[in-house]
This record gives sequence, structure tokens and C-alpha cells, in this order.
Amino acid sequence: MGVTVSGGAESIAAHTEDLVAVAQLFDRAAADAEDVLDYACSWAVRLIVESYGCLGAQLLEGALEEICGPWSLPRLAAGSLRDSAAGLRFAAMVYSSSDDDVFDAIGSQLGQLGHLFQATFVGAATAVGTRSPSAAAQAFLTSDPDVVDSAAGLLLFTGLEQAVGSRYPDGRPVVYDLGRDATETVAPHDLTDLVDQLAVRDDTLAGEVSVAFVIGADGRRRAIVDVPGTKSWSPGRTDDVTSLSTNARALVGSPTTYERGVLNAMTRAGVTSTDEVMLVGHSEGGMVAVTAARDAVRTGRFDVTHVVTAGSPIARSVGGVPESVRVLALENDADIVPTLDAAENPARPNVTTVQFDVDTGTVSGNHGLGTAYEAGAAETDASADPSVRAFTDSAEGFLDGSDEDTRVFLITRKY
Amino acid sequence: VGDPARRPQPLAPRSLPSHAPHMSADPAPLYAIAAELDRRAALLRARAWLIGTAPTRTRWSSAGARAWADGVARIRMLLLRSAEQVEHAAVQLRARAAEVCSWE
Repeated sequence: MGVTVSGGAESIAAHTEDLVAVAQLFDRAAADAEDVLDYACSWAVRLIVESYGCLGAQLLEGALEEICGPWSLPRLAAGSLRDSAAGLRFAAMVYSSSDDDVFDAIGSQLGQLGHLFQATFVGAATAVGTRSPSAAAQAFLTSDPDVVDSAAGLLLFTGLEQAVGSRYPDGRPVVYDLGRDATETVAPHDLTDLVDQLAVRDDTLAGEVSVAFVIGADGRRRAIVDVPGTKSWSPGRTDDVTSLSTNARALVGSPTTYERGVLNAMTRAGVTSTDEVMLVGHSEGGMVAVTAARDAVRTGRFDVTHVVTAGSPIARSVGGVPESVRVLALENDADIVPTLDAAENPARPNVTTVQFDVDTGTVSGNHGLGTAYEAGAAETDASADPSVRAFTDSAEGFLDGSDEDTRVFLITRKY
Repeated sequence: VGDPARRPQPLAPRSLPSHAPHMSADPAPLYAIAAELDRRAALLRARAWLIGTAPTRTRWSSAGARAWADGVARIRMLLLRSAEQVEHAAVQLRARAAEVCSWE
């Protein structure tokens, strides 16, 4: 296992509209198969056949017996086609989602809808060597994460952000200082430590972020800000700043209440415009970290020099980050979330994308910090790739301290 | 799909008594049914061909490609076998129509 480093993710050539188009083909074929059945087994045909007398009808009905009987292939084909069409539409829906909760729900739904996938994608079950529909379906989904490409294009870039924005105002942030985190006192020394600390923050309250001060070997104070990902997938009005509306905005690079809350928390923690800052974000948190870095540097409010994202679709927003900000994007090839932006990360000197492959067999597992991205970070730490080394060397001041002082903040939303 | 060898076989032609007065001896309605079955079987074949030309822009992984290919091939095979079954029924119906209507 190794990592692939590039200025941009591999091109994406998958299209969920194809899945839907094939589903329509299947449905039409099913209708034709059902039509044959309906006709051959109709009363009209039977009346004609019976008009040839008892023995004549018996002989004639024998000709139609295969179509109308238990060995009817049109019936079998129609059922399989309908099931497969439903399975394809379900798959398209799955690929269209970036929703952890939806993934979880899918996990349970797949158990119930397993027969749909069995109908068409028996090969997937065979491929993964399991008889479990849920496991097979998840393996099928996770084996082709790039297929979300067009779903993102269809759903997210054709008005979702505007629709969400107009229907659900983003509100304003309310930031609560939760005090010091006595458990986070050891400074990180590599990417693995950064991701590990982010995972700790990710396990806390929705909207909870941390600002850790590290004194580097050069005696200079720097700040590392951890920004976890989505906790609420409500598209509606909610005080949870990690909700779906934040995703819709951040994905296309729009400012969000979550971002304003992060910047507010940094101010409350005492970060100044002369402190170098590293933002570390997972999933939605990575998107917010990118837009926060962009806006903080442009306004001169903070000196954000580094951003590390894990499993974040940032292709649409990272191009707006000033060249003084170095971005390292960790992307698990088996994770569908980084592909939701339907675009490659731009190949820029200050944007390094590291791809690795950790396939846990589940959609949520492939997106998890502890289940996938810590391992990917460890691989990246071990990589001798010059782009990776350039990033970590430039971040040395954040990673060569011994102690850190961590402050925790809770960001909520008010309307 | 099952083992074709285990499917019920068509009834063998047999000698039957002559028509009662109320029985039809005109094969035309039966030929019409057979023609209709042929037309619908052709539609199934056309659907199978269309599914074979389904959009394939997705760049699958090897496992996904196998699953997709297996699924589409299975669906096409089912449709083609369905068409064959319907066409076979039409052939049987024509043959039996001729037999039934030839009874003296």
C-alpha cells in the first residue's frame, strides 16, 4: 500500500445520470415483458382458445403454458428488470449523497433492499466473496466512489446552494468558550498526530472546535485549529452549524456561519494576526478550513499559512486560497466524499493532494478519521515524495513543539 | 432461470374426435395471436439490444466492471430467452392451430 501524490485527483468519468438512464431502459423492457404476459394470459386470448372446444383448448393452451406458467421467462425478466431498475436508482441516490447519516441509514436499508442489488449485481457479491447483501452493496458502492461525480454536478451545482441559501438563511454564529482541554497537552509531531487530534475533536459535540497554541523550537507561538465535519444533516433551520446548508455553501466556496464561528473562536482564544495558523479539517470541516483560510488571509485578520484537509471535497474552493497558504489534501480513494465536488483539485504549487487507498468495505468507514484517514496520514508521513516533504518541512514550526495549550469552543447558530 | 430440460414439454399432437357443431374451425384468430406474440417477442429482442447499448461512461473499478457486466449480461440473456420462449409459443400455437382446425 502506498500513496499517490498529485496536484489534482484523477479525472472522474462516472455519471449517475447513466445509472438512471439504464434504470429507465430496464423499466421499459420490464413493461414490454409484462405486456407479453398480460396478452398471452389474457381472458381475450383464453376465450379464443376455448372456442376450439375442450380438447382443442387443452392442446392450444399447452402452447401458451410456458409463458403463463411457473417457467415464464417474461415474468422472471420483468421482475428482475424492475428490481434492477430500483437498485440502480437507489445506487444513484446513494452516490448523490454526502450524508454520513444517510450512509448509516443506507446501511440498514441495504439490508432490506438487498434483493434489489442481488438482482443485478450478483457479481458484486461474488467479487467481495460475501453472501451479505449489505456488505456486497457497500463493497460495490465503495469500489467506485468516483461515480458521485455527476451527482454532485446535478444536485450541488445546479442550484442546491442557491436553493438552500434562499430557503434556509445561514444565520449568525454564537460562540461559547468551553475552556481548556486538559487532555490535549502534547503537541503534534506529524500528520498522523494532526489527524489523531482532529479525530478526538470529531468525537465531541456538534460545532465544537479547538484552538491549540504550540511553541515551536524557534520559540515562536503558532496556533492549530481543529475543525470537525458534519454532525447534523438537517437541511432546515437548526442551531447546528455543521448542518447540510453549511455543506452546500462551503462546497462552492461561499462563506458560512461555521466559518465565521471558527474565526470568532480564534479571536476569542487570543490568536493574533502575527501568529502563524494551521487549520485542520475533516470532511465539511476541511471545506470550512479552506474558505476560512482564504477569507482570513485576504482580510489580513489572521496569518493562516497551512491547511490540512481529510476527506474534503475542496476542488471548487481551494483555488481561491492565496498562494501563501499551503494546502495538503488527504483523500482516500475508497471514500466517496472527496469526489462530491465533481472536479479535480487544481494543480497548484501550494495545493498538494495525497491519495491513498484504505477500503474498509463500508462507506462511513472509508470516510472516518480513525478508520481510514489516520492510516492514510501515517502513509503520507512515511512518504518521501518531494511535495509532501516540502509541505511538512514548511510546517515544521507547528510540529516541533513539545507542549500545547488547547482551548475548546462551541459554535452554534442563531437566526 | 432453471434447467430447460426440466421444463414442461409441449404436448404431443394426437388424434382427436371431429368438431362439435359449436366449435370454431377457423385458424385465423389463432394465427393472429401468434403474430401478436411474434411482434411482442421482437420488442423484447429490441429491448435487449438497447440495453446492450446502455450508457457506459462510468469508469468502473475491476470489481464494479465485473458486477456491471454480469448484471447487464444477465438482464439481456433473460430478455433474449424470454423472446425465444414467446417465439416458440407462437410457433407451437400455429402448429396446433393447423392441427386443431384439421380435425374432421
